[in-house]
Amino acid sequence: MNTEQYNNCVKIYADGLFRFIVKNLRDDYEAENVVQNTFEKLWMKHENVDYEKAKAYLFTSAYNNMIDTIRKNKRIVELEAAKEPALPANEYTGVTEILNKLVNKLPENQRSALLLRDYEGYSYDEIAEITGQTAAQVKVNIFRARVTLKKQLGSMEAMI
Amino acid sequence: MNINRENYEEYLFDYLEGNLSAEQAAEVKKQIDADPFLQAELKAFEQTVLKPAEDVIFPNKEALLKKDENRKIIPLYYYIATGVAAAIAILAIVYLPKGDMEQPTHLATNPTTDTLINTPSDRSATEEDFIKEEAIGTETQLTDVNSTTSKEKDNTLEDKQNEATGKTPVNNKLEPIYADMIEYNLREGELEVTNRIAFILPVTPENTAINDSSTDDKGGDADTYTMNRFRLKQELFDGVGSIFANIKKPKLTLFTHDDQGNRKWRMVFQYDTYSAIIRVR
Repeated sequence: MNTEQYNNCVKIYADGLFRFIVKNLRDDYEAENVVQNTFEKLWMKHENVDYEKAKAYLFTSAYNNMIDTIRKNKRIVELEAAKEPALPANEYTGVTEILNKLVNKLPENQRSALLLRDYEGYSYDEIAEITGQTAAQVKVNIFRARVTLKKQLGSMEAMI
Repeated sequence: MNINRENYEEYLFDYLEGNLSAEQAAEVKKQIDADPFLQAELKAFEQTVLKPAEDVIFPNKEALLKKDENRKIIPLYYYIATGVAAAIAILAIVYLPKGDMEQPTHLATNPTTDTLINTPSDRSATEEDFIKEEAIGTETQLTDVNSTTSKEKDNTLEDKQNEATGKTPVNNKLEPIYADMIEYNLREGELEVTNRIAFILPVTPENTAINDSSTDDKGGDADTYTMNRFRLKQELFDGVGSIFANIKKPKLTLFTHDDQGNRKWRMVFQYDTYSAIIRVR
């Protein structure tokens, strides 16, 4: 990959990568750091990375960086999650907002798989490559995520 | 294929995800159409599909871009220094043969703009480099900041002597070179000066991020903007100014003025390692 192709990667993938990471980390600053680190890493290796495989490289690298960040901040995240209040129905204005809140409560492996599937349109195999799971595990994670969201959305809508 | 209340979620999930063959999908669709419960459940599943928040964007994308080392980019200071040298050469041809004479009004040293010549303490190395570039093109120009200061001191003394004797001062001091208008195009992150006699910018406050705003030791405002790959540092001395720019348009033009309508400040353009000073009258 040459410099122009690297710059194209920035233009094409930086936003999507940021959306995926910030949705997982729920921290703009941390997400920006992960995206920056990921692109720096790509730049350092750009001569050895095929342009066609750059997106997968970026998402895999960002995912791993994100997992490291989550582990590093695990204690803080857990403390914050414990403080997070239950979802009062009257605060929500629509299904999308409720859905976003519910996605935040999914286990990380389900959330990441679902985000990569819906945000980026990745196949199970591609998500497996990024997250280091098998395609079957990815499918199960996405299935569980959708079933959980479906049930919780149903109950939230019933409350509204 | 028999979809019942025990297995319907797997079938609906596979249907939604596009995991079924065309034949299987048609069969599932047939059963969904015949069962209001399955229709409601499919709708509920469909609501779990996330839509990317398009308004969430990475805020500092330009900082990630890299310069193509193989592409030859002519530094901005080259254009400006060349233009400045040409302007001085023309002025020299017009005025120098006349010997002692009054200072041309359009280059008259303005007491306010004199402050635009920095003292060594607030001048960056890149700015000094630019001054040196000017000196290369024009022997009458200063070679460094310290000599500017000493020459100015001498001139001040000389002016006083001339004032006392009633003589017209000789125009032998450094004249700040004013670029009334600078126009350039942004093309794929490359800075291209198309016409050095032009006014700089589209940069409207609404669409230009002021990354750093501070007050310098002279009481002037110094705003730093980051636009694509180059940084525009605007320094305003002794006056209220405004900056107008529009980075969304390929043509970038900039002008500044104080509250009296006089343009009297200096701008420093930095493009990667290159730097240029543009003094606007």
